[in-house]
Amino acid sequence: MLQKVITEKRIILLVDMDAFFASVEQQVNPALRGKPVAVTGGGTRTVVTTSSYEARKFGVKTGMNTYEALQACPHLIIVKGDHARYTHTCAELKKIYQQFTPLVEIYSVDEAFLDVTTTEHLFGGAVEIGKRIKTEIKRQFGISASVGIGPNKLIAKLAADISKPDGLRWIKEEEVPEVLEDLPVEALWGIGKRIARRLEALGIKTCGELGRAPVGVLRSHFGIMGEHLKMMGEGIHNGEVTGDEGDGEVKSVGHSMTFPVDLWKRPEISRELLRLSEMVGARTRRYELRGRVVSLTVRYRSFETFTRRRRLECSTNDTRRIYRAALSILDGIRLREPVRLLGVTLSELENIRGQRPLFHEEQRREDLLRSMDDLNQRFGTLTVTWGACINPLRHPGVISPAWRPSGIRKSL
Amino acid sequence: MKIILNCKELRKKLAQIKGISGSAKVIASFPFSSHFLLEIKGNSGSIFATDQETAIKLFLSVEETEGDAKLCINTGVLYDIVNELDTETITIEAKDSEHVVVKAGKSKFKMNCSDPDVYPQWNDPLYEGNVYTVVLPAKRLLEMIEKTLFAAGESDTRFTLNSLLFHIEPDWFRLVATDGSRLAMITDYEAETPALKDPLKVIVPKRASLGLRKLLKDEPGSVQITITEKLVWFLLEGGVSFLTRTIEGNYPPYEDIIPKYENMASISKEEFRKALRLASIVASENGSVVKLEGQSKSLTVKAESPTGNFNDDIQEIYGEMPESTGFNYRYLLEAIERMEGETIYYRFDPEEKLSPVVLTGDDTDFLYVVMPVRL
Repeated sequence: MLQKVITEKRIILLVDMDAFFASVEQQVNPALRGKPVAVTGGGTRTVVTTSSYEARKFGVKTGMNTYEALQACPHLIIVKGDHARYTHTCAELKKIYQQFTPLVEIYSVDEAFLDVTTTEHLFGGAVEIGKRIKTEIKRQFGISASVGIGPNKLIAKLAADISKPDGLRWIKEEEVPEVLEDLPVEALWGIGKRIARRLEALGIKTCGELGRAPVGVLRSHFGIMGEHLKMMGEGIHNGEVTGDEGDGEVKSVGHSMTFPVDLWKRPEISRELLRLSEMVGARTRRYELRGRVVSLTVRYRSFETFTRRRRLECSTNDTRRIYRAALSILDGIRLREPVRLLGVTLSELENIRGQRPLFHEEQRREDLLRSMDDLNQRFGTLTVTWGACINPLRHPGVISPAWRPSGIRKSL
Repeated sequence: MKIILNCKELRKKLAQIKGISGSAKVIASFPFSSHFLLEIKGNSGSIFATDQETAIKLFLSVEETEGDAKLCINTGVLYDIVNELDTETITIEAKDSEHVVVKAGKSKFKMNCSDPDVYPQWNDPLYEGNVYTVVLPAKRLLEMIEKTLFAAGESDTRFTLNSLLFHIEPDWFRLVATDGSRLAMITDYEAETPALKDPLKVIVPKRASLGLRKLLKDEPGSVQITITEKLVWFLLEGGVSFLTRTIEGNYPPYEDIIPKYENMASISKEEFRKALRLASIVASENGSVVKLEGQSKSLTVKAESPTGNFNDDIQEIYGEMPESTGFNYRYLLEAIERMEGETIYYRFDPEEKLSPVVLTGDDTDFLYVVMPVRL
């Protein structure tokens, strides 16, 4: 599998929308165009999620609260984000990408990978595709995007980052060592501050140094990730563009939530887990699926994120079982920091096609879940919910990294 | 010590105990289960194997012997050796309990053995609290297992369903299996049952039932089932003893869900079976769902999938069928194939589409309840 990917020369595009939320708002409201704009999440947590390039010049950064942002830029216009608008735009953008290749992976609401290896010759080359996508996005939505082209996802992402805003950059395979040589490791997709600090302790600051580092040293410090890090330093990345989630079988159903305030207390965390389990359960039931593996994702205040999985004895779509599994995973974790985001995913799905249970207890359980699902379908998500979920924190409705236009993330 | 055994007999007996030392998972949790104990006293021999959950004890005839012996031998290895040999007899020699030499014709194997004194002991499970016995022909018990075990759960958090229920009343003896969506039940009125004040219910693991089934196939006589609080002991007339632990816990209240319906249709078993088998070709691509559509005096079996669809009319039906009901085809086929006679009796609730359906054949002691699929 890996061999196949390595030997075949690929051409990957990353389309990254510039200041996506802010650009969409500027497009919708012409009065905002050309002005410093910051988009915040709703709810009590008024943190800047995106700011326009005009605002960035004044030092407005993602993650600042409104007070800090206004300190940096007193004439900043603060807009409350409208997530439905962004997700709709994202779904529309996907249609543009699909004109050029069926292998489109919506990585997040404002980023998408395209594998054009087999289709680039039809459109006059990868650069031409990049230009046409940029033009089309500008024409339809009036917003600018940066396109990075590279031999793999890692390099494509890097190329887009370097060319931002409104840029287009192709880092060819032969140029990779030169580009990486003096590049700080943090510029690489997937290397955060934490890992960068640990690398620096080993005397590794640039990608070039990372690529040359003995794999044994990296492995002893980072475990199996060590090899992966070395490859990243060499500009090698074997991740495939996973293609359209809408086609083929659904592989997992998941939900995640960023909370208006970080959670620390166990009852709060378990209540949110129940809510997430219910959302996952309801969706799996709607698709007439059942899953065998429950995963719990936790993101700390510091943005450190990890996922743990648990395999069930038998597949389920019952909120209670999903919740219990998620809870038992949580029991095995010693939380070091307050929790910013939680995610629950159900995978290894199978089609059930409505087999009715025989025993009354299970029938009542099924009827209960079905009635709840019907009501929630008609009157809105979580209209009817579990007692333990009542009085939740007000959700600002942040778009999760797992959000997909098709509703379900295909890859794990 | 030296013994001469009949090769054919040894092969057969090792095959019978081989199931116990079956999977690597079992061996990992209980290393003894890869070995068996061979005991020779005077002119009689016995084989004993256990995996902690079940145990088998068999008698072994000895052709010739020099001295008593107690050896703990690897089941799989000896079985493989015996299986390859074409000689009439084999000779097992041991100077101590650490090695044996197996000789057959000109071939000679030296095998390492384990310490026989640490191998678990067989204790007849009698006189432990209340003891009840049921006696019936081994062939009948085999039939009862064949007609129920298929409906037991595969793997379930409710592992009480991954089992067979033995339900004993003063006048009858019954086996029940269910996986939560269908249930198979067979009742025997001829078996010798104990005088009971309260009904007796014990849950026997599915794995043990599979092992027992294998032993019953070779038994022409009767079987005595001895039930104690935590163990069930099957003593076959031919001398084979099979012991299993029971599953603790409550079996779901199965009697409550067996409906009594007035409405019934009778369908030609052969026609029904054929139509379902054909439908399954299409249905297996689409969640295994088949649709039964009743018209007056006929029944249409339908299946659909993204690649095509199927339908077939069965003319030989009497009585009336509900308009449209969906089923997992496997749930119907597996039961129908086990029913006797030429007719399947289909009983249903005409008012409620999603209520259980009862199927029986001409063997009225065998009853099958299956839940439809929501279409």
